[in-house]
Amino acid sequence: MSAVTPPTVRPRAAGPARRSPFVEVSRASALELLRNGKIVASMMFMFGFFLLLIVWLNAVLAGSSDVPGGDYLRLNLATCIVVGYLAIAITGTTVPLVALRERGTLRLLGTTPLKRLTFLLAQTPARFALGAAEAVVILAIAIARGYLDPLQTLRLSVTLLLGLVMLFSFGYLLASRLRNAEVANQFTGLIPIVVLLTSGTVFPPSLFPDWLVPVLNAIPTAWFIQAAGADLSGYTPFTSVYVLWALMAAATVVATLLAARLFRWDIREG
Amino acid sequence: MGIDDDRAGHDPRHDTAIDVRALTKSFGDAEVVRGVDLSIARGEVFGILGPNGAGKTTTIDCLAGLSAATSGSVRVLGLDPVADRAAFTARVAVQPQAASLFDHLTVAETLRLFASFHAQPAPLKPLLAEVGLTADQGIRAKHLSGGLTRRLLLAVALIGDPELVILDEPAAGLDPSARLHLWSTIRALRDRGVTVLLTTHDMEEATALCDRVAILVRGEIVASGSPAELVRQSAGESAVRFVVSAGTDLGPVERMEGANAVSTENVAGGIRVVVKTDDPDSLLRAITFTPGLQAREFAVHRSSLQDLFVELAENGASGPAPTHTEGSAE
Repeated sequence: MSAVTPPTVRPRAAGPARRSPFVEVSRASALELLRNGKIVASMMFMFGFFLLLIVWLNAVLAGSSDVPGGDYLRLNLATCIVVGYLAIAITGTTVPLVALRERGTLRLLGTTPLKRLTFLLAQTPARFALGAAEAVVILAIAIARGYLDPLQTLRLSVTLLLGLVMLFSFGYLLASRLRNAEVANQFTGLIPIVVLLTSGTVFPPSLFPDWLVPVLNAIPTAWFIQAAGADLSGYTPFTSVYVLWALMAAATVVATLLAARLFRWDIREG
Repeated sequence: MGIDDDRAGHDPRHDTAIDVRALTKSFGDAEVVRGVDLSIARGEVFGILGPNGAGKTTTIDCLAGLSAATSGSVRVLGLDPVADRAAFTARVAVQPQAASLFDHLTVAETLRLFASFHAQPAPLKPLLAEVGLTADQGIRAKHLSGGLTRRLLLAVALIGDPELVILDEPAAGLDPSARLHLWSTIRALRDRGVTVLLTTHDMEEATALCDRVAILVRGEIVASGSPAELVRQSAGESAVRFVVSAGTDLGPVERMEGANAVSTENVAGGIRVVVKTDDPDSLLRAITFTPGLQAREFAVHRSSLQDLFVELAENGASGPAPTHTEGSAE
């Protein structure tokens, strides 16, 4: 190895003070989200479109005896927030993460000391802010129309927080292994339809056979809709709101741990 | 990018940066890397050469811990790239061949992001200057040209002040000026004691940059050593070409010392003579001073790494016997 230059020690220059990787990835994630107007627009469109639709239907169906309680808006606000949160979790989280994997950006991150869980959790703050904005809209409508008393407002806020975090964890889980952003995009259209059909607002539970009701009640989005609906729409959930909270919290922990466990930087990893 | 003996896993008694034994990697039934052995010293610039599909990137992926070996052992700075992931990524930087950055982050924002992953990141301004991106630090990644993107990827690799840098075809897509800039950056890394492993199929780049190279063909190393040694030992002969008038007696040329083989072809205005030799300079002098030969239109073709590469690539792993010179890959 005659041509090899003996290793020398370069005097180390004073580098910049280390910043928190969580803070920096959160910041980068927020900038990517905000500077890419298409993603924000498509997330907010789902929520806004559904909200406007039920506001319009409420006006059209005002006083109809076919609408339980005569208030179509009240009946569907819980489904509206779940659809909005699903858009944030899937369109705004799963799809961009899978696109990063498809383009090799995650592969590059996988060559650094960045931890997977740090990366995943750091996607949350910017999206959480969007979810909070949607919650404010729903709470404002509900309070203005007299659906909520102070205690219900507090309880609904907890439900919305737990529901948002749970749907984020599902978004991360979905993003953990998918290789193709186009496939991820298919879920964007599919999952809200499934949620709507099983929510009990499009098809009343009385239409379903008895054996199907427990199955529908086992779907995590149903826990969210029923817990939110208990305060927003005056539903009587199949179990207490506090049990639904516990179920949502447990689902969040399981999905987050699974996402961290299953997450792959690279489609060829392993 | 200095060597810090206190870092976990570094045994200062060893000066081997990369030690690979009988590495194989298969995808299904296809064995892409077949029994590769490599030993690369600290502070060395080592090149893995090979035609497209030779297994260079797969080998690099195994060395970078991006892909687990099917069999064999890989130790980098004394670490297993897959099992010792945290310690490995703290000390080794990788520039993958195909990677994209965050489209909407600027150059400076991108580097600040990657700096946050490392305990002692390199200072930003000198690094920007080193890779030639100072004037572009406010530009978003999606607006960078291909060459500037490669520079940013290199800066991302260097931001963690690594002891070892793995570069997969770092000059791909660069214009000549950018390529020279990259070369000077790599030489500066070597001068600082950083070990550099790169893949390329540019023989000029390998000759200019690498202390040693290994030529990979169909997943096997078929030759390794310093570029100069490989050329001298494997490619052998150079050729002296000249033109003489028709009817010239070539007997004196055939009897010249160092003339290994003489061939001729008729060309306009005479005969083109090609003399294979190991010592083209002496032969050229002898031809010039041979009375009556009146040779003209001289040209000397010196054997190069390119010749060896083409020969090995065409013959494949079943071609010439592997050439391993002093300090060879094995």
